[in-house]
Amino acid sequence: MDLRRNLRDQRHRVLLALARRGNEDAFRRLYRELFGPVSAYVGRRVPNREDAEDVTALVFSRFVHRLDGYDADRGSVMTWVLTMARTAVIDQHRRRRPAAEPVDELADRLAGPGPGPLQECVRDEDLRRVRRLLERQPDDIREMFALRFEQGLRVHEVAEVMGLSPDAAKQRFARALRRLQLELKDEERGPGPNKGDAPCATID
Amino acid sequence: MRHDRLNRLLDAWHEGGPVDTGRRADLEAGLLEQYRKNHPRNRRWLMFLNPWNRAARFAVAGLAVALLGVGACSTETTTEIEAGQQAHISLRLDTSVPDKAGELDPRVVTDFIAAQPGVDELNVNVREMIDDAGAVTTDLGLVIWGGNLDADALAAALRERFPSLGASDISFEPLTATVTESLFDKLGREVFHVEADGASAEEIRAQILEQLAAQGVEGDAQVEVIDGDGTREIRVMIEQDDAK
Repeated sequence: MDLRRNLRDQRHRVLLALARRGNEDAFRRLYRELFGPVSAYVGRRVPNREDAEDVTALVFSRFVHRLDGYDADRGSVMTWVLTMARTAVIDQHRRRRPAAEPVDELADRLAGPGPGPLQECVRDEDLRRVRRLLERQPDDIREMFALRFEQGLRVHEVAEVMGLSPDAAKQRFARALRRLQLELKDEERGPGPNKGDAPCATID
Repeated sequence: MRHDRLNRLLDAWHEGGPVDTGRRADLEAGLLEQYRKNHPRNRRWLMFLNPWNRAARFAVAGLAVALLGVGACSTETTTEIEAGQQAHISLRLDTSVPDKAGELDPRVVTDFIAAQPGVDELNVNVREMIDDAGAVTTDLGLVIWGGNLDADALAAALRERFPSLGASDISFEPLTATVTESLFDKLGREVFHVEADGASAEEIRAQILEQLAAQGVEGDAQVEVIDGDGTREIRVMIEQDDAK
């Protein structure tokens, strides 16, 4: 996965450089590669489908207008566009949030609380265990995991997207992984599957 | 490696769903319109300013070359881009020499490499071999990713930091990614060398046409030379013949 990711990042940089010079094919190709991760990121954090589509469209509109503003020294193209997506999700949440809704809801939203289509019916015991473990983590840690594992960002890129210092992100992430590892071992040694998990519906 | 199973579970949990290609296509048309307004394709001047120097040949770097022509610039070229280095380091730990082994702990070595300038990421494979005399050789296979890596500087830094590496093999080979792009775009990253000493616009034009022809681009170039106060500005607009 690291090899693919590094080649992907390099490819994105070249495509963006070409797009800046008016190469429409490069722009189109870059857009098509970024669309999946951005729409997945937004889709998991904006519950209403129409709103999610609008936010995704806004992200790419900003992407087009800011094409010349990308700075390769600050991170990958993926990091840059996901930072825009995160900002757009935050803005959308603030516009839509009823006054009575607690602010903490935003942090929970950014962590991607909604399961993706592959997790909505989790049959595998291991994955159920991971879900339980993640639900117990603080929102910022869950957001870090989502950016790291869902979007494939490196830890310093996660820091960039979340506005953290790279060292702080590295420490928090390492501590969280260690804690999760210990909790996973404890769960595996435990009495058995959590009886609170509802079994998935089966189709006869 | 630590956390392997946990990492796999976290990957599986966060795995995304299929891309909505219909939605992607709906958005694409509108984005392309915006893109075309912001980045017009076919009419750009190549402009650069150079200090006046009658005796000097000057190089022009980072040119944005405008190609006018009917039809797309479909001539393709393949360019290799270096994405990093693949390194092999063989650490020979002589256990008959007291207390030298600690310096060459693979983790210490890889942490040092990861902290070097230009290193974005590091993947490591470690293999240990023990011979009949008990001497341990540790092989580190490294894939080092970074856009501006200097392999020689990295090797020198390693030998300075770990003098015990003196007898060890350190070898690097570049990792390259291949990009296929239109010739138009490749020219945007090429350097032209133009003899400007006393040259007229027509002579400069001839030089540029010759260099373009060497890269397989046939067409015509308009050259405008503007001499200012201690500067010479040369504008080049290149028209490419239709792609065959």
